[in-house]
Amino acid sequence: MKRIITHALTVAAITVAIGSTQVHAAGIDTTPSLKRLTWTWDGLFGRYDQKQLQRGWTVYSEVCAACHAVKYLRYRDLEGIGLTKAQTEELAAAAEEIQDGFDDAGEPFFRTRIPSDPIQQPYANEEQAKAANGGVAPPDLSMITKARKRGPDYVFGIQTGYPSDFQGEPPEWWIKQFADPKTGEYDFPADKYFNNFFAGHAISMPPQYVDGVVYEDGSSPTQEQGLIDVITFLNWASDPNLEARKTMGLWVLVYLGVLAGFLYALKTYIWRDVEH
Amino acid sequence: MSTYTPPQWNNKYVSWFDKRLPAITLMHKHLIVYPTPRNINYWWCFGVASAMALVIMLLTGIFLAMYYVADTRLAFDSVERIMRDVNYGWLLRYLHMNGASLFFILVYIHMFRGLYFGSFKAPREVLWWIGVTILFLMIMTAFMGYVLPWGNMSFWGATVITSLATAIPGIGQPLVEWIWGAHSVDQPTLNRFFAWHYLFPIIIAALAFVHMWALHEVKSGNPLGIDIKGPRDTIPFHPYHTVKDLYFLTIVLIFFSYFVFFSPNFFAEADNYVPANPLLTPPHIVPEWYFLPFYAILRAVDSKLGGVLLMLASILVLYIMPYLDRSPVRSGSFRPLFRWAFWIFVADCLFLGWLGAQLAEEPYITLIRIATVIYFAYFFVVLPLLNKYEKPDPLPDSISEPVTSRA
Ligand code: HEC
Ligand code: HEM
Repeated sequence: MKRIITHALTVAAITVAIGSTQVHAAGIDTTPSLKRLTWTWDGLFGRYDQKQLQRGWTVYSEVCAACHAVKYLRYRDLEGIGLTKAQTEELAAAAEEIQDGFDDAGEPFFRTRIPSDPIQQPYANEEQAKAANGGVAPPDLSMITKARKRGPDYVFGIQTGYPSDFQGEPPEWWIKQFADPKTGEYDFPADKYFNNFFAGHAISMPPQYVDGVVYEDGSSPTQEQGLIDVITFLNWASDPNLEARKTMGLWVLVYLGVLAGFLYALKTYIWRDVEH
Repeated sequence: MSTYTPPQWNNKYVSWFDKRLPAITLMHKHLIVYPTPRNINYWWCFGVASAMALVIMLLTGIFLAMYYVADTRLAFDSVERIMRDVNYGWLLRYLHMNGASLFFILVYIHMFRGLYFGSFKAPREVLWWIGVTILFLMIMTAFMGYVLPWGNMSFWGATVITSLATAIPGIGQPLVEWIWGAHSVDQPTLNRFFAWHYLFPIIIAALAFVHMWALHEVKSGNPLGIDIKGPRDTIPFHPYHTVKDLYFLTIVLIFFSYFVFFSPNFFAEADNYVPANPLLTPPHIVPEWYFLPFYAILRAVDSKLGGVLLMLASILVLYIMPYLDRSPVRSGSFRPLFRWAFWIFVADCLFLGWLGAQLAEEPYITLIRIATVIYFAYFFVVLPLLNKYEKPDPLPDSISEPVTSRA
């Protein structure tokens, strides 16, 4: 057994050595790298903070909801961030009416929303969303932290990754890398914003400011804190069962750990007389 | 063994039933008194662990299928609804999703065990062949399952892999369209993949029983690789292996639970949480991790047909293992040179897996070629040469000899 392990380790070390030289050879890039943030829900004991989720919802509904839907959420789901049933009813009723089939005359029938209805979306359809945003529809945000690599860090990176507030203005390092060395000319779409972390760097979303949002207690967050709050909300929207999952996981691990201990003892006992 | 004498069942109902269908005697013979080598180690527990993974996949899969909708417009949403609105739907889905990875980890270790200890050698060739067939079916099942959530990686993965069949000269294109049931991966494809994804695991389960049938005919091998010579070499399955297996399965479940409950998307690709979009090719199409070594070999040569044939060969070669490694010594523990070759081979498989996840550009292409050559050289050059020139260490006389002399 020991011999097997030494062999395995030697060979593994050689593989890693070959692998790592490759990584270095390929890694020349001046793009800023995505910051690794810590989130309240990280780790075995990670949880959401309900107050923070509610602040995040406020940021979402006052800023992002102008362009982005959270289509997998219904008003009643907001009880998951600590709103009361009455509050979800109130929010639903305050939203735009929703079409619910047709009336007796065959005309579209509209009614007030109730908590089991989806949260109001900014656009009636994909085409309208595109037309209002320079030809690109803002993606649904109720899955966004799952649908991007290192989702929460990425969303933060996107929101803080604008070197300029204006369209068609790429930063120095990018121009150095991509401009024609002779003429100094470069090719960046005039109607797009530059973003450090967006694939291809040309993004249709203008920089967003969340420090103007007013929370329930009357305070306003810093830009950074507002973003952290809204990303926390978006992560909950992507993964609303996270807390239930981690709680169950801890019990499962405790149960299996104790069971493994007993079974190991039983195994040792049963095998006590067997030479093997 | 022919020495088995069925017990007398005292309970009159048991006895009545057993006379009409000897199921109870069968279980007594195969789960209680079944003789196993006394020296088998924990590497021999990966078979039963694979069986547990299969059961987890079948159970969670059946329940997921009660909510899943195989319609290109609804499939993605139906999976998301399972995660959000079905009671414990997130648990079902994460168990099934990570269960596939668990299944492959266990089966791959199970197979490497076989390669190291010579489990494919006489008299276990048929047992091994059934195993390789199971691996083939597992690969197809996992591939089709990955298509079902109809994420963007599902769609593009399905398109890339099924299109490989176009490499077959002449009938390639019509064959692919016949598989698709359309002119591209579309509604008919999704529909039939769902049907096959439900069917194949049932075939796997049936083959697993045949696997056990063959096993119980020839009995388990052991780390010394020598035959059972008498009752001194064996212990009954129960209670010795029942308790050992239960302990081992619990450890496997702890490992599995960590991923299911604390890092359920560890093995997942973010792009598969984006709905399928035929107009939006993901920047980097990669298969699930368990296909990566094969995916690397696929890209080892410039010709598409060549790549497909190499990839098939990399699995098919396992069928002829009994004829490639003809050393009469089964266990690698008594073969000093083989041991080195084996661990280099294992490292090469892992390296191929890493390469499979890289972009198809230099220096990776060259490295893939080198690793592919090493992969096939192991089977066709190294093993035959070793059989000829290696001098194995002396084998003990019996399984019980080294253990009793150590005591
Ligand atoms: C004025 C409309 C508008 C507002 C307000 C807005 N966005 Fe966007 N957002 C867009 C558009 C348009 C895109 C698509 C960009 C593209 O693909 O070029 C986008 C894309 C994104 C992306 C996805 C980038 C990717 O990888 O595809 C994220 C994340 C995002 N927005 C987050 C937010 C957050 C968080 C807020 C609120 C703080 C917000 N957005 C507010 C218009 C908006
Ligand atoms: C559904 C997947 C599989 C299941 C459930 C399964 C199950 C088992 C079990 C329970 C055993 C006896 C315990 C052990 O030796 O680990 C076994 C033995 C064996 N299996 Fe599998 N197996 C599977 C796949 C495979 C595959 C893919 C291969 C090889 C290609 C394989 C080859 C073997 C061999 C050769 C043995 C005998 C080993 C020995 O005793 O030396 N099995 N299998």
